[in-house]
Amino acid sequence: MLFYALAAGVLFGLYFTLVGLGLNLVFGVMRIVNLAHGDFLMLGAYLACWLFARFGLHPLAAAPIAALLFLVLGWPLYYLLVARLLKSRDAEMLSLILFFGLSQLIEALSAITFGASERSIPGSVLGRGPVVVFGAALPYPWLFGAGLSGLSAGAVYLFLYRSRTGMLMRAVMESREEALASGIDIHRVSAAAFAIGIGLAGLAGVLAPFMLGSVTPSIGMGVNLTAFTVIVLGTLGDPLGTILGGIIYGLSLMLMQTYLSSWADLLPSLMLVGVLLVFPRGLLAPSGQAGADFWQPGTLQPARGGRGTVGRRLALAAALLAAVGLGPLLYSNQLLLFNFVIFLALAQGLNLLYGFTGYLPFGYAGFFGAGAYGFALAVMHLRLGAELALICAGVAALGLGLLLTPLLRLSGAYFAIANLAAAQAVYQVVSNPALEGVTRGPYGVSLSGVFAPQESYAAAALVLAGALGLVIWLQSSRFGLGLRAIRDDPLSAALAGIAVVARRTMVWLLSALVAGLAGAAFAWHISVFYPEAPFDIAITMYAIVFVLFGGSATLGGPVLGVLVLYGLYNAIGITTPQYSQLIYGGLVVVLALFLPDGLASLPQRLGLRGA
Amino acid sequence: MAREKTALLRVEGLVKRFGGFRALDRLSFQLARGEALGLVGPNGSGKTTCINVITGVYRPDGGTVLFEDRSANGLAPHLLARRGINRTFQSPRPFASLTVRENLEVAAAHGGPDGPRSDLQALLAWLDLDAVGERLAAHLTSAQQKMLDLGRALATAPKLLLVDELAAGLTPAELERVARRLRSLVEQGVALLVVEHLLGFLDRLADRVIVMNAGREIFQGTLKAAARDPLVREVFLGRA
Ligand SMILES: Nc1ncnc2c1ncn2[C@@H]1O[C@H](COP(=O)(O)OP(=O)(O)OP(=O)(O)O)[C@@H](O)[C@H]1O
Ligand SMILES: [Mg+2]
Repeated sequence: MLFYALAAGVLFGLYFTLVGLGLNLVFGVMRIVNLAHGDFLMLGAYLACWLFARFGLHPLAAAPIAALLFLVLGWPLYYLLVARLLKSRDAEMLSLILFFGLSQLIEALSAITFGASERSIPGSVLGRGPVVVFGAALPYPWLFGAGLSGLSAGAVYLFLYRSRTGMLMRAVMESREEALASGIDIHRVSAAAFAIGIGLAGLAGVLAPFMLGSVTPSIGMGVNLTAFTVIVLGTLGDPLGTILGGIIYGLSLMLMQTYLSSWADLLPSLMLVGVLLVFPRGLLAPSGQAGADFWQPGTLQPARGGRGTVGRRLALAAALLAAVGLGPLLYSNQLLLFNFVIFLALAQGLNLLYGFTGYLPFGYAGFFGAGAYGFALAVMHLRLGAELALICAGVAALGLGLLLTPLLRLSGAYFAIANLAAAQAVYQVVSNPALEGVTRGPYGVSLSGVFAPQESYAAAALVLAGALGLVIWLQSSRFGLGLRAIRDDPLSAALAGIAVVARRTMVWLLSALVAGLAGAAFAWHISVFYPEAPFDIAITMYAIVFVLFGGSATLGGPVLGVLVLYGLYNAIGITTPQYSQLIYGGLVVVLALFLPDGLASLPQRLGLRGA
Repeated sequence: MAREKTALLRVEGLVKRFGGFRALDRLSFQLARGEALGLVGPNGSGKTTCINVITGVYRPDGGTVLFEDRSANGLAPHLLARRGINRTFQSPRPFASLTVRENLEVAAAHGGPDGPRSDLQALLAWLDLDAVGERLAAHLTSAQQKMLDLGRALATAPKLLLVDELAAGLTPAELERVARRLRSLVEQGVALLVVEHLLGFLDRLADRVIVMNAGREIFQGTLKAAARDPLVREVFLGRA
């Protein structure tokens, strides 16, 4: 048993090395996070499946084809997306947003083109029967996958350490500034690294049907978390470390599957969060200098915020709330109205955190889900009425927020991804069949006993009112001025006497509370739901798009975003989720590339406003 | 008077390591109210690190920092700021997206030891920044940003002020004004630690200097005496 787990762990470790290598190369050279890495891998897997189904092509032949094809694809993609990105003030953060959009776009396009059904290649293509080593029966496809992974990774290392271009790449990884100063053509090196990164994703994709099981368009995000875990374990930007990360990850996964199988899915997310918290810069990075990092000023240009007066903001909020109140009298589609209110609240809740502290919560839906389940559990197990259950939901979201507060020590991309992983972990716990007695696991909850459409609508409106009030408070108070100072320069802010950590934590908890209460109102309103619904990553994406579209740190921006985009979406009457995913994903890409500060910045960008 | 005798700041055996490298190696000195102490040394000798440790940016790996006879070891910068320790930066770090006035308001609002100072207009005028009070800090000249950095520190009404190469890059006329401003602070009873490469500037300010090399103190006394010290001459002029 143990030997089997260890042997399989090493085999998978080699494969995970390959999965992480491309992502790490891109990060190391460009300091950007390719959150669409997993989706390129997925495309590679589809290519292999298609080549096999159509031409009976052996994966060994498909591998170089995929690698080459993706390499050639990655080159123009660099000049199309990344070159522009690198010119921006905060490439790392913006890359996260851009590739998040691209990932959604690819996933949607694939779902539309290939359908959602699973694809696979029979393992028997590669060879018959398991290979028995010391009594452990290892399936032949695993040996094949591991072998090819090891060879490819070896080739990459040879390239990095022996070829001229590879040496240049490593020089850029060491220090971008010095490389620039010594006259290296950074763009060519970066383009090469990006193309190789995509090529490796395609190559790893060919092996995915054997190593990861059958393939669907939605495997991308999970692969991303895995790849990110691997390279964080092995230290970001350190290509050799990736082997260490891959092997550790493979071993942990196999040990977990052997001895604790029902919780094995939790591994990547928990490991990622855990490692980031204990070794914020990876296992191989010298420790002890996290303090210096902590005080680095955020490079993301702080949003200047609206210049309006408190009176005008209050008027806007009042008008919006009046419209929300009158809505049900004027319009018959209650569910649609309810969704509007929920998204308005979520967008403002995310705006609180992102607009005023610069932390981008990719796992924002985790709080929404925690609130929904806090509400559901209070109703189901404590037999509470809806009002008291709402309070429980708020407590649940705050509790999760407190539990995750250490994440605030991470900066930029690390925070966003760790938050995403944490939300994923919460979802996996809640939906785990082992917890059926508590959460009903994957089978969903039914709260028909407390079903009350009007009251729950009112509750959502109240949450929205609270969120609007909080945004106005942050815009006009001394507390808010302090937050802007922190965004500009945390150390100077501390020297001005501001308790930086406490203040960020407070906004983080408030933002979590808004999402949690919105989630509770959601649970109350629809009353029957599966765990996928409140934890859907699309919820986070929508909230981010609405805020980015209108402009963060403003009151009107997110409102505008929801009204225009969500309104448009409903007006066109898109009912297939893939198409909305496609459009929103595309929109994120365009926003990140051309309008990172939102519509509110448009007049300034066009030079229409002076001071 | 007891005020003259008891040290406001006592640094004893301070050590700060970065990996295996000792940026501060058992550094000790004292500083009284109304005293100006110069800190000089070649590039990389640990001057900025010394300020960083005293202001709580880094936790010391050894030794103690006593402020008003209470330990200030490893406290967060905002707590130290509220107790009356503040600083400027070698390259200024203003709040770029706030106006000059808001920069000072933030610091004044959160305050130093005796509560924040309320006369921000006077402070702006004193720093020659009153004409640009409504301008975004990002749009100031670098000399103005240095003054704003000083203003942000002074808005908390510090008892101990640590300035890191404030004079570098200023014109002679600006130098003159800055030296007079710092002098007047000392006369008001502020304890001043001045890190400086321009010895002429330092000479006008500091009663006493510490010369550092490779994290260690190699001399303590007047600037004149330092100029005669063989070890100091060797460090500054190279082994001739
Ligand atoms: N965060 C850090 N991590 C690693 N090494 C550091 C760090 N901060 C400073 N050092 C090192 O400590 C030594 C002292 O640096 P410090 O900035 O204190 O010198 P300095 O005397 O202020 O020099 P300068 O006159 O150039 O400003 C230098 O060798 C520097 O490289
Ligand atoms: Mg220095």
